[in-house]
Amino acid sequence: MNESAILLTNIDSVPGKTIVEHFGLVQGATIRAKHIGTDTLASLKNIIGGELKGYTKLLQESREEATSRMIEQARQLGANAIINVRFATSSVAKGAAELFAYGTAVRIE
Amino acid sequence: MLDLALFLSLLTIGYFAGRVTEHRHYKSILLREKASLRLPTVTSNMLPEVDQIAKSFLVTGSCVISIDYFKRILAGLRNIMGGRMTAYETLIDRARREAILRMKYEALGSHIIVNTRVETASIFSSTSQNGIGSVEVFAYGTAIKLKKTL
Amino acid sequence: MKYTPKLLTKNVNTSTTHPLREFAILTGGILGALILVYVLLGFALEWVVVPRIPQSVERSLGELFLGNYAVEDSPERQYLQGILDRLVEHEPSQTLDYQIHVEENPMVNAMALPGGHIVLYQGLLDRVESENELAMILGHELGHFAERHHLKGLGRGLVLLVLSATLLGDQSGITQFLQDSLARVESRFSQRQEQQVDEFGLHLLQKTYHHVAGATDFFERIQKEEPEGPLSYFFASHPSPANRVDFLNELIASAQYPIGEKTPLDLPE
Repeated sequence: MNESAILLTNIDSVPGKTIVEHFGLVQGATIRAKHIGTDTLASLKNIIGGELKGYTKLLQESREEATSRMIEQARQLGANAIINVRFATSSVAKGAAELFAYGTAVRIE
Repeated sequence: MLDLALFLSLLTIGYFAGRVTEHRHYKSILLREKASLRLPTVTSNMLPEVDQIAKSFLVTGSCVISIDYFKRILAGLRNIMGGRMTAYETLIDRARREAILRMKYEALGSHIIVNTRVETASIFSSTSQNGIGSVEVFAYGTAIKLKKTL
Repeated sequence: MKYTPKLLTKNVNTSTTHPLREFAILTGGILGALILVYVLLGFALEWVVVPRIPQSVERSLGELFLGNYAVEDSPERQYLQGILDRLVEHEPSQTLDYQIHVEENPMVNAMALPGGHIVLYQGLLDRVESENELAMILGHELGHFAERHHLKGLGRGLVLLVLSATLLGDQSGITQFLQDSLARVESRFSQRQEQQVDEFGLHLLQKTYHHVAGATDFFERIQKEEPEGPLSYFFASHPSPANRVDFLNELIASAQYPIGEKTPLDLPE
């Protein structure tokens, strides 16, 4: 099995490589919340507008975690690339970010 | 005192009932996933040669799952402290896998599902201010049936 | 291109932490933090703010509360006021104008409201047999004024309200749960306070009547009326009657207060 980094693309192929085998859908999801302090600050910031740094960080962390979980699934299947990766965000609970990453695990050469 | 007793009993019922339901659901999901393993589901447009295709059609699958009282409280507490909401992880995982499975069962007889998309929506209850607790997952894709086996 | 069907052996999308463990950690952490803030703010109010509240503010606060209680000058009220005035004469350092109010309510209860107002419930008056035991109850309420408990209680109640409203919001069961837990902490505080003012009342009884007959009568009667389990008073705002009787008897023994003749209660109709 290829232990090096898994390639991610959001198109149907990995440019310059040939897909030799595919393993189907892989998915990674996570849901995280910020503590009440950040929530309160954010609601104050809502009055004057601007970037909500706490939430930007929250979403970034969540996205990274969802991606790494998806990559973990691909590794389990013996893939070395994930093509056509899609990201989705949903608000399942108030103040929490739910991130979902999914794609098709493939082996390239 | 009565309020607290009611709360604690709801919590206990929620915990045990929730665990049993979750366990059963996972068991059934694993079984059906194994059975439908031969049908590849991909997110890309891996179209076979045009002359090989017998027919193609849209397949969908959806599922709404709610969490138990115990996990709702747990999630509420986690919302105060911040961090990973583990209480919701299984809820969403179950809903997604179930929706994908239902989509696959709709595609029975075909050979591949391409361009699969998964959407998540939360259903807010009108009774409480932040009516958390249930998610709807909707999965859809194009099923392709070939003239001869892949 | 070939397709290799493979089952995923491990679910990476869910955590392995046991939910009960997480629940314990979260509840412990949040409750701990809340209680800390509550106690700190409560003490800050008790020691910094309450001693600085002027009497005039207290009086107007009292009028705010008194709106709920009928002020009606009956012979009964004047008789009770007489007993209270005798006690107040022996009560040092008081500048408040103490007033008795009788509330037509079958509950056995008495309250100290800001501004020197003492509200006695009819249910309590019906159960009292001697002037001495009534004086003990009034002395107890006067103790609350001396220690300014009526204001401190208000202060902590305010902190409780602010904490639960702003921090927790309206999160259905959670707020209820945390509020209940905080209320239990508060009840432990108040049981200590009640003991403190029982002691105050006893000393005042001795100063006024020169003996302490009847000091424990009322609590003994209540105890006989509703024999309760050992735990039923654990979370209550007052200690159990049995504990109060024991505590008072210990005090009487150690101070060697004499027990004299009781004056029967002579309530005008």
